[in-house]
Order: sequence, then C-alpha cells, then structure tokens
Amino acid sequence: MALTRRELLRAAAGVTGLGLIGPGWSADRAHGRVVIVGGGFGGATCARYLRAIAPDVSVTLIERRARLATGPFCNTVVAGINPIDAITVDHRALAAAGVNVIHADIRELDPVARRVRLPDGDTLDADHLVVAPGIDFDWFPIEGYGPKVTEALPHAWTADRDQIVNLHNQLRAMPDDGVVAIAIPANPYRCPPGPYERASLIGHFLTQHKPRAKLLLLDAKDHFSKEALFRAGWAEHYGERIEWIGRPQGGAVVAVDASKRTLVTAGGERIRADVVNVIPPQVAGALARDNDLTDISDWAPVDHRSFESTRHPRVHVLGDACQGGPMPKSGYAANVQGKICAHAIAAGLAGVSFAGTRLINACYSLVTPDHGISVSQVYDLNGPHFAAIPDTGGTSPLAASSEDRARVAGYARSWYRNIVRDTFGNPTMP
Amino acid sequence: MHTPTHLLRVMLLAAAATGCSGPPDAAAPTPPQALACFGCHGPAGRSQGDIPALAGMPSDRFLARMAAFSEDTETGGVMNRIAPAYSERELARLADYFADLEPAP
Repeated sequence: MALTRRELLRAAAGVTGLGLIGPGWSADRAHGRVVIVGGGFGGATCARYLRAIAPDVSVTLIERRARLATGPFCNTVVAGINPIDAITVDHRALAAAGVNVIHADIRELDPVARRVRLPDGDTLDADHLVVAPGIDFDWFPIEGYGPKVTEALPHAWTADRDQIVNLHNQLRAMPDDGVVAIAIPANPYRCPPGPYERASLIGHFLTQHKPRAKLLLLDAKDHFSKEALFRAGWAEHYGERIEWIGRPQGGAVVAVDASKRTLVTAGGERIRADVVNVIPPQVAGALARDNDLTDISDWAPVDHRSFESTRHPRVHVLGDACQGGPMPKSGYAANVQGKICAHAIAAGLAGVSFAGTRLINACYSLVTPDHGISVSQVYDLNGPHFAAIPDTGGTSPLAASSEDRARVAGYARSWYRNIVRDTFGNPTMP
Repeated sequence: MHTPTHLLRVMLLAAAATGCSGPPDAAAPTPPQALACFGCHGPAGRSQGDIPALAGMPSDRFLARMAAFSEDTETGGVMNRIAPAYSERELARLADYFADLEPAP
C-alpha cells in the first residue's frame, strides 16, 4: 500500500499543528468500534484512513455492492472513451488493510443505540456510526419516471454499472440523425457540473459516430456550474449540435412517457427523443432519511468539524447525503470529509477533542478528451460550518490556451487515478 | 476580510481559550491542511500521471511554485486559485512536510 502507517500517523499527528488537540495525543490510544454504512468515496476514505491512523479501532464497512462504478469519469464510459471496467472499484484493498468489509443490505439502523441490523439478523454495535449512503432519487416531480422505466430511460447517475453501459449502448444504437435528450434537475444534486460534462462528451461521441444527431438539454435551472466555460466549449466544438433549454425557457421536465420515449416540459412542449437520459431530482439516501438523520431539506445536517450529525451524537453523515454548506456534492468533497471524520472519530475514541481543518474542493470536467476545465474552492471553518474563503477558488480562465486546456485534461486523468487510490487503494485506472 | 494569517491567529487564540496547548514545538509538525492535498496529489503525495507528486519535493521548489501560482505566472491547473488561501507560515509548514515524505519508489 502506497500510504504507509508512518506517514498516516504523521498526518494524524498533524492535527496537533494548530495546537487544538491536547499534547501527547496519539491516535494509537484510540480503541473502539466503528461501523461505516456505505462504501463510496466518503465511507471508503473514512474506513481507509481510520485503519491507518487508529490501528486498535475495529472498522466495519457495509456496502450493498461488491463493485461500484465511480461517478467521476463515468461520462467517459457513456461516450465510449473508456470501458466500464476502467471506472469500476471494489473494496478488496480496504479488506486487505484490515477493514471488515460486509456486502449486504441494512435491515435496521438505530441512530440512538448506534446499532445496525443486517438481513440475516446479525447486529453490529458501534461507538461511532458513519452513515454515507449517497443519494436517492426523488421520483415524484417527474410523472411517469420511476424504478420500472430506468432501463428504457437510464439515469446513469449512480454506482450501478449497468445503467452507465445501458446509456452508452443506447447512444451506439440510435439512428445517425437521432435526438438525445438529457433531463437535468434543480439544485442540489450529485456533481453539479456532471450533466454538462456528460453533454460535452456525448457531443464528442455524436461528432464521431452520429454526425447528423442532436443533443437537447432540458434543465430545471436558470444557470449551471462552469456555465461560461461549457457554453464556449460547446460553441467551439459542437456548434448547433447541443441546445440548452433552461428553466426560464420552460425546459424543466415534468413528465416522461417511457414507451414512446417522450418528455413533457414545464413549457408544455412534448419532445420525442431516440435516447432519453433522465437525471432525476435527488435527496439523501434512505438510510439517512428513514433514520432521523435528515431535516426538512431531506439532507442531513452535520457539524463540519467532525461530520457528526447535529441530531444524533456519535453518528456521522458523510458525502452527498450531508448538508455540506458551500461544498458541492462531489467525490472530492466526500473524500476529504471522510478524512476529517476519521480524524475526529480517532480523536474522540482517544478521549481528546478535534478541531477540524480547512478543506479544498477541486473538480475537473472534460469538454473534449483534450479540452479540460476546472473549478476549485478553499473552505475554512467558521464555527461549526465551512465558508468559502473569499478571493480564492473559481473556474479556469475562459481564454485558456489550447496547451493549458490539454494540460487540464491531463490533470483530470491524473486526478482520477489519485483520488481513486486515495479512497479505495486500488491500483488500476485509465 | 479575514486573511489566512489572521484566521490562524484567531484559531490559536481559540485553542488557548479552550485550554488546549498552544502552537506545537514538535520538530516537524504535520500541517492538517495537507489532508486536503492527497485527493489530487495522491495518497501520501505520491501522484500518478501529470499532477506533480508532492512527496519528496524540495521545500524551496514547493515554495517557488506556490509563489508562482499565487502571482498567476504559472497557469493551467487549479493551484493558482488555491495557493492564495494559505499564509506564508502555513506554506512553509507544508513545504517541510512534503519534502520529508518518502517519494514513490
């Protein structure tokens, strides 16, 4: 494993760097049981770092899927640039590092007793419970869309490999002069720039394989992430091929008819498409919503110093399911939240307090395989919540040279390899 | 507006007020901010691919690059929008920390 225990112990010792942990604190003193529910970017990072910094803490990770498609780079698979296996991760490296990995559903989760019951009746008790279920879809706002029609109209927005392959296969099979439609939700949702990177790379695919085809973006928003950069990139590379219809133009999708591949917009238009990708509105995963960890927003409020729930002590909610304040719902954010949570739990189990630390979000998108763009932000704690540091962050420049765009595309690929290794410890990647 | 240095001072004061220890006297304190770097630069700073590895980077090179990012003389990546968030003191700590990490074999 690239991350040696010595290095991680030193990283852990680093929390003394601001003098906020008592002298002599060592994560080696931490003892206890941690159960982590959800093995995506947040849960897996938390498990991996906990094992490394607090070797006497037992860590159990429960995740339904043995193999996950990552959200990052899934659009390269949709567009046929990478095979699905290139973005598939598992938990074998975590198991090898001493995490007790269980692939199972959760039958019950008790946030007061911090107890989890598995379908076979086994129960696990935890000193700290980490809930990282990601997102669920809110099926209600789009009439006619639901679990029964996702094969005909894929979302391709979760770790389900079949969904991503399905969308790619539908693109391959469509007529040369066909229409692709993507329904895009209002905020907040997983990966704010994701739908627009998807549009870009589908545009790239169409240019190569379906030169007379069109792509319609039907959006429930007025504006979107990296908008100026995406719009300029589309105009340059894809011309009239990509058309964005935002909320002010009545673009929000309110109904679909799966058998006819038809979408109905708030503006009253009925649009028939050959490939329909519905990215539905989203809420925190059911494990958070059904177990008193969310509020009226349907997302889980947490203290950003530890990602501990404000509703149940020693229960932590990580990643897309939590209210990250100014942090987007991104794999990068979940990864760094997982590290902070691991340090907070290790400190708690060692009987000392942890003050949290500054966070960064960095996010790359591909407009073409050789044209990368980025957005980043640094966040500092303001009491229990993160606030963006003024005059930092932002997007890559609109007027970037082609050399710089190619560099950013290279960084995007390197970023993917590095964050996957930092999270799952896997040695693969495109 | 709060500068990073100012924030650091406030945090140290807050630490003193809550009865925790003051600034560390350890020989090589690890900056907690380093945790946020590994997502891009790889676990323990051992990057694969185009993003530079931080593990083993000489501290003067690290500081020179961060200065170039802050002054926008080096562009292309995300760092010119991240570097200005860190005070000189924080950067010096990070520089020492990364220089000390073992590079990938």
